Formats: sequence, structure tokens, C-alpha cells
Amino acid sequence: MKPSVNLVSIAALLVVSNVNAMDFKLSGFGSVVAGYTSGSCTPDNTLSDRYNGSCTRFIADWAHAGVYSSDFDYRPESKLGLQGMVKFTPALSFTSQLVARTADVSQISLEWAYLTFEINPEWTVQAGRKRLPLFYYSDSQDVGFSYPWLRLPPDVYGWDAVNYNGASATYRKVLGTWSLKADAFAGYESTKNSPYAKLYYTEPKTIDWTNIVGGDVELNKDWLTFRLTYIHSGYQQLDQATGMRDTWPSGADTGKQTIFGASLNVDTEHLLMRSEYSVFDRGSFQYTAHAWMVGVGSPIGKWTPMVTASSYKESTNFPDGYVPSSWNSLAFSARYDLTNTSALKFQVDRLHDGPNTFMGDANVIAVSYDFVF
Amino acid sequence: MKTNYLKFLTIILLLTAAASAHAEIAVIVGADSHVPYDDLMIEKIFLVQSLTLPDGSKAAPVHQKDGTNIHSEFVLSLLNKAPSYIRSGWSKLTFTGSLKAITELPDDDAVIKYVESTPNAIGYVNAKKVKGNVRVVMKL
Repeated sequence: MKPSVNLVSIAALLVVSNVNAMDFKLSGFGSVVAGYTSGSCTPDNTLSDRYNGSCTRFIADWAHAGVYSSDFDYRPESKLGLQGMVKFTPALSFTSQLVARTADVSQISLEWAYLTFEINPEWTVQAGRKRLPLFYYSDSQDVGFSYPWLRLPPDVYGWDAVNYNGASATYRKVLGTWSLKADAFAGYESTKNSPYAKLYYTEPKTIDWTNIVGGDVELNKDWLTFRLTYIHSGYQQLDQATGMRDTWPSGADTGKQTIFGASLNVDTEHLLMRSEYSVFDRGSFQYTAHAWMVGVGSPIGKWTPMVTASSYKESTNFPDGYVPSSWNSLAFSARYDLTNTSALKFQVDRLHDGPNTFMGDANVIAVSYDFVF
Repeated sequence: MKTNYLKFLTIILLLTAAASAHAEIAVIVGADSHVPYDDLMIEKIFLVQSLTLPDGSKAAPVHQKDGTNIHSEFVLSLLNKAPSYIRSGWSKLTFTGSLKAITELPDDDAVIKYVESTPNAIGYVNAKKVKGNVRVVMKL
């Protein structure tokens, strides 16, 4: 049996916070989000049966099974996070983050718990439980205050793993007019009773990302931010009741996935542009998914209105065993900076699903209050 | 009537912009700092895109409190960003372990005191208020 990383880390957090601390800092963030869906009725969808009760539905948070229905609901995306950081020496620190969610089954999860060692100002190593840096906003995806939309575009950000247990090395350097930040990381992640799997299956599943290795590079220059990611890992899904691995459409019960992501962002006084492109290649056993997102907005005083288009499209080598999904979305959002540490957001999404119906079309209206402290 | 009203609004806006553009900001470092600062480096340090000074030592940037005029002006004129970008950017960094904390101080005097007493500190104040043991490395 694997040692419980969560318990060990929570214990570490408690011990650390009780040390009559060298330098302890507590901070936090939260989002109260509420919304509902409407549109043409699609009772006949291919989601798990638990989502058939509503005429329309919208998966706002795939990793945590945050799904809106036609009933006004605050549960799918609301959350509260606490972060504790203790500095042992100027170079060595421990950071931990707990997040309580109301999505799916109410739960508190340990998102981060890692040691940071700054070798020098250019090199940092971290070890413990960390966020998988799949996309530009992955690191702060729970912190609604950190992004312009009400939610990160689910067409790009909706996957089955969010964190990993392992180690990473970060390198920072100024190269002429560019700033470079590069990471290399390795680890594993096992999600028991996966909320993501609940979107598809009635019975509980465990999803494993094994032997994760990857890297990302972020370049900044003036108003431009450019980012590339590459991740490779093993992938398997287990039936929780039997402990047996599920068989993929290819006939195999394990597979390897390769993930590639690119992001280009623009920030000036009057223009905000966010874009991401990603490829999840699970083609050898299941499907390959291409997703993209482009959002353009303009900061006008305390307001940041934005229009964002996004798309998700799967293709498969196993048409007899797998029905590829695809859909596209258009979102109109507005962020209003209420204070220096809080923002109100309003967002309307229109999702068009097809040609193979997966979740059905949906119009979504949602409001949020995001804060940090 | 409507055109007149718009003209009036435009003039007011232009005047306000011109008035605020005249409040000069000085970027300051400790008087004993011998690091040769340039505009680009200053920008990168305040955007947390660079954590170090050219000599390899760790930079200690200090901001004026978010919400003050000088903070907004600094962010807009030097960094060419909307204040909301800086705010959300900081929260992205602080909740992901990339940034320990942003140092924010309430006024010019506090910034000057901090810059005088902290190695590798760099801050900004109203150019007219510069005093004490500091060196101006940039004016905007």
C-alpha cells in the first residue's frame, strides 16, 4: 500500500504551523459562483445517468465534476482555499494549500504540499505535491481572482488530472529583452473515485497518470507572454470495486499519452488577449483531442469585458469502439474589480455540441464573487 | 446639444490626463547601490519577470499600496499595464509558490525608509518627495 500522501502532508502542515514559527504566512482565496443552463432539450446524451435529470447541462469544471443544470446552483464552482507557507531559512520553505469545494461530493482536498529550495536566484527545486503545469493558468486555476473570466475555458482546461506528486526544477534567466522561466518535472498522480470519471461512468473509477515527465518554457517580453508545454505519461483507469484495469477501445488496458500545449498572451493598457492550443494524444489506445481558445478583452477602468471563442475536437483510430466528441463555445464575460482583492464577474456561455451528441447544447448564465486574502 | 456635451467631456478627460501626467515619479534605490539600472531591467523587476539584479543578487522591489494614484500611474506609465492585470498577476504568482510576497507600503516616506535600509531594494515615489540616502535611477 502506498503511504497516504494527503495524510502525511496535512500532518506536516499542522506540525509546521504549530512550530512557534520562524516565518509563517497564511493567505487564502475563494469564489462564490452561481449559474444555470438553458436551451434546447437534450435528454438523450452520453454522459453518466446522474446528469440525465436535467434538460440541459454544462460541465464547468471537468476535474471536479462541477456540472450546471437548468436549476440555479451555487455548488459546481464555488470554493475556498487556504495557503500556509513557512520559511525555515531564506532558501528553504514549505507551502501547502487546502481547497474546499461544493462540487460533486463536498470535499476538502490537498492541492499543494511541497518543499522549496532556492539553490540560487536562477535555480529553484521543489518536491512534494504540486500542480501539473498543463496550461498557462493551471497553477492558479482555483484562484478565480487571478484570471479575467468567470471560469477558465473548460474546452481547454477540462481534464482528469490536476496535481501530481513528484519533483520539479525551475530555471529563470533574463536573456536580452526576454525573461525566461523553464521547468522540468517528474512524478505520478492517482485519482481515486475520480470526479472526472463520474461524468462518464456510474461506477467509481481510479485514474492513474504514471511516470509523468515533462517540461514547460515561458517567455515574457514587454506586452507578450509565450508558453510551451510538453508532458508524457502512462495512463490507466481502474474499476474501483474490483481493482481491475478497464480495457480501452484498442484492446489494451494501459496506454501512453503525450500532451503538447502552447499559449500566447498579450497585455497592454487597453488590450488583453489570451490564447491556448493543446493536443492530448491518447491516440494509441483511445483518441486524440485538439482544443483551442482565443479571448480578447479590454481593461476599461475597473471593468474588463471579454469575448472568448473555444473548441474541443476528438479523433479516433478505433471508430468501432469509440465515438469521438466535439463541440465549440462562445463566451461573453465581464470582470469588475470591486476592491484590490475582490472582483465580481458575469459570464454568458453558448456551447454547441456535435455532430455526435455528448452533453447537448447549452446556454449558461453565471455570476461570481472572487476574493483573495 | 449631444455633440457639445461630448466635446465638453473630451476636454475634461484630456485635461485630467494632462494633469495626472505631470506628477513625476522617481524610481529610487539605496545610495550605496552601484548596480547600473536600465529601464528594461526596472520594468522586469517590478513585473516579477526578473527576480535578480544584473550582478546576480536578489532584487527587493517595493510597491506603493495598490489603489493609490502613484501605484496606478506607475503601473500604467512604466509597465504599460492595467492595474487589474497587476493585481490578478500577483495572485497567480503568490498562490503558486513562484512569489513569496509582494512588498507594498502606504506612502512615499515608508518607501524611502525601506529603500534606505534594505539591500537591493528598489521603489518609486513622487519625484518631489525624494530625500535621504537614496539614488534616483529613473524618472517618468
